[in-house]
Amino acid sequence: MTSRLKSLVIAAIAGLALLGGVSTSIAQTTSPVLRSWMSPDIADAWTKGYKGQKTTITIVDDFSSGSKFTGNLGTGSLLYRHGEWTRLEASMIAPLATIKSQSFYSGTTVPLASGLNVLNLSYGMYAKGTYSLGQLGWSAQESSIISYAKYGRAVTVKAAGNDGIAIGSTNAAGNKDFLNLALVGAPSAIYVGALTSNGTVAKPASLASYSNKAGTNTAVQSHFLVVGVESSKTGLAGTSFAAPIISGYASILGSKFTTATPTQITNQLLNTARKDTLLNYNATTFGMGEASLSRALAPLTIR
Amino acid sequence: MGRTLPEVDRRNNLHGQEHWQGGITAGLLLALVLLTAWSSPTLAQEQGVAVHLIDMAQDSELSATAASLADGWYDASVNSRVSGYELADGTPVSFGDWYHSDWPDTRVDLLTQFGDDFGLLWGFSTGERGEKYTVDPSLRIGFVAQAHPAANSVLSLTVRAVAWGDLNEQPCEGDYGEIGGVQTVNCRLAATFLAPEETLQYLAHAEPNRLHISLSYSASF
Repeated sequence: MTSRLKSLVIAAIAGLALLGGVSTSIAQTTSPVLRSWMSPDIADAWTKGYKGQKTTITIVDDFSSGSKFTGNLGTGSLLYRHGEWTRLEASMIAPLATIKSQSFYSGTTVPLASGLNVLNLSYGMYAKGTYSLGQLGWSAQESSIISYAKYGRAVTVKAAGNDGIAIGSTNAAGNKDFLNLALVGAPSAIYVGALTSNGTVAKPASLASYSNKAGTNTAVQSHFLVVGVESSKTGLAGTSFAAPIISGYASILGSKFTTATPTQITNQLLNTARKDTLLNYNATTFGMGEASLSRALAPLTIR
Repeated sequence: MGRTLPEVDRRNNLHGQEHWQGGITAGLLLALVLLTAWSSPTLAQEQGVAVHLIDMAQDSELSATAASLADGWYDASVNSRVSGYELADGTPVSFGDWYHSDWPDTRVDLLTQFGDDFGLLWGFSTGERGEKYTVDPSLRIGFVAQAHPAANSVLSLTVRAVAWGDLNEQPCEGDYGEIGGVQTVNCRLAATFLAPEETLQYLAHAEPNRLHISLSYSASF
């Protein structure tokens, strides 16, 4: 089992040498600004004062490697590591959330804070597609993440992957993302695919060509969302940058529904996703549809 | 005949919800005053008393306040007004359905004149009711007195008090399903990022201008 674990490769966008697993947190102090890549829903959240307060988003990602790339989330061109980008993005969506960072090289248990916890996983755990899930052993880090999702202890937001295939399928290199597979059926897990833009009824969006899709497994479809990743505006492409948007949405929902469980937050995002903003919607591609923060915050009925 | 004097601006104070107060009592008092005034014309004539209808209008600022609730608010982030929202399934909800009335608040002001320089002001307003708000009926009572400092000049004092007549917004029952259950919520703010229970502190409440005092001087040349 251990030898098989060694064959498990962290294949996040920037996968470099292990430099330690330091958990840090940052606080946003600047006033939030609606950036062109964001949905207008988000600004409405801020104007009402809901910015993710009393929730914690833990970004499990690369914060220490030498791999950096340039992007611009509206705050000027920056040269950041992968985790620094996803952390910045999530903190821009939910600026008052407590943002914690854990190096995905650490392998240590991801700690949970009090209140609503959201885990952002903009990475995958790849191994040869010939393995079965049961053959693999997980580090304490992934074991804790999978457990939190399975037992509804944290909203677990997982980037769908950038192979242009269905969740759970083997990619062109013959590998599978086993973290995706391990989260199938977990009640508080959400897979996030990337659209080319934020969809509207007038201008429905398409799935980005690189984005993984939901596939035919209904257990995946029912936990699969899509959001716009407007890479033409940010220089950042990939489902890695779709997941932090959903993490931020979950955090803002937690600001409003302060007693809701992670599973309830998850279901609210899934059940209120829009299908009419997607070009040729079908569940195999888009799962539950495009996440809509405004609808997730609205009542089912009012009288 | 007594003179009516320009009213000071009414003041609307939007703050926390208060309970409806005494509309029925106001109506009864009003009916009593009306009955007394109009059923004794002989007595009125003998005592040099005359009753005048001096104003009747549908210009209540609280009606305007209620209408403004239907207008929603301006959202700078999307550069447009928010006058409704979508429910979780996309069903549109318009504030206009909740904040309109077929019968706007109507004000009637009368003057019972005692002699040349003194009159009792009295009147009422009908109030109005929409699906999610009420403007209570009000009772308006006061006096006007005037003096003649010179042969060609008049100094007038008008005092009028208004009882009841408050605007109160009613809450809604919002069903947030599994995530939030059924909660009492401010109808307008149910789909915002405020926690449902926190929206209640923004229920509109406004009062009419309770006391009107006016002093005027006019001279003829």
